Amino acid sequence: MTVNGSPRWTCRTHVDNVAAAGVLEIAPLANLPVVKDLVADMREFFDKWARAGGRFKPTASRADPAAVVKPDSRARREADAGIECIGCGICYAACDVVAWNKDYLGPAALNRAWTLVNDVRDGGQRERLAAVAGDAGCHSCHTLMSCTELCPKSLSPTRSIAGLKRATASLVFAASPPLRNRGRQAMNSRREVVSGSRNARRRWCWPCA
Amino acid sequence: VAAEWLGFRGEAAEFAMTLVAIALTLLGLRPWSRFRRMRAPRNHPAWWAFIVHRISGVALALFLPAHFLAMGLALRGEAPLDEFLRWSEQPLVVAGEWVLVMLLAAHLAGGSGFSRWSSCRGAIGRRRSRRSRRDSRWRVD
Repeated sequence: MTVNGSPRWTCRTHVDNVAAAGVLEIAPLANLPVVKDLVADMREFFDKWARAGGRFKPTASRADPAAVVKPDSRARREADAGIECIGCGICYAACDVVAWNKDYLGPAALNRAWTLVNDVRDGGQRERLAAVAGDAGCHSCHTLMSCTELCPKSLSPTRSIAGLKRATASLVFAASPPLRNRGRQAMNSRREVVSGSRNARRRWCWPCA
Repeated sequence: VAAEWLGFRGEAAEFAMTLVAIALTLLGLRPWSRFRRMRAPRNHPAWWAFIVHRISGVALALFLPAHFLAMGLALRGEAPLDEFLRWSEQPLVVAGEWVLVMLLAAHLAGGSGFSRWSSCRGAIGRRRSRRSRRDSRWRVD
């Protein structure tokens, strides 16, 4: 809800911390249609998650061995920085770009897309980057950072959106996008090119191939 | 020492400076997050950087056609441009040029987003880890 002009978790907000002048003004979340009283309709918010490619697209079946993701790898740490979103909609309500452009996907959906872009097991990267690269996507962000300021989980959707901007730009400017998470896709394409023992494949590099 | 350096002497000055030091210390000890919670949702550096960037950008965009018009005077010969350059030596116009340079600097500063670097660039999740160390689990406002 909106408490004294700021979107907040009302369940975890101590009144004496926010009611500076002894006045408490409560309103429904901004940027969302109001159902009744303080209830906002969150459908639009979650539809945008789907539109931003927020669904995991597996590349392996249950017959395959579990993917090994090193906790200290860059992709894993990038995903880790945004993974704890709980979908409360505070960033969406705080975002001025959402208020200006009703089609803008919003900080939470783009943050979700960025965590999946950094998921080495995911196979839907091109579609996802195409989905977030449009007029209502990551490039509409003006880095106002109200989302980062107000996120109750202390995430930085702005940082995630900045990552998406780089990833989508690399799609345009490079024939082969330097996505750090290509992982499995890259391995598959290498298998087509390189034959030989497993160790030989492991030592594959493009100048030698 | 600060009182002496500022030119104040005597016990009263020392007492006053001690009070100032205590006040500053208490202000420093007071959790900054409490002020943050009381602030208006848009009252933070990145939002102000955006406003500076946008206003200076609009002002510069308005200036640009005037600049081209002035440069275009040279197409009509030497005399019209020289006349304009003489006109531009007036103090008010010179002051305007200074404002223009300031607008350019502000536009650069607002657009490069120095205020946002703490969370957008640098080590992964630097801001997050710093904050999550402070409040180890879920934040309670």
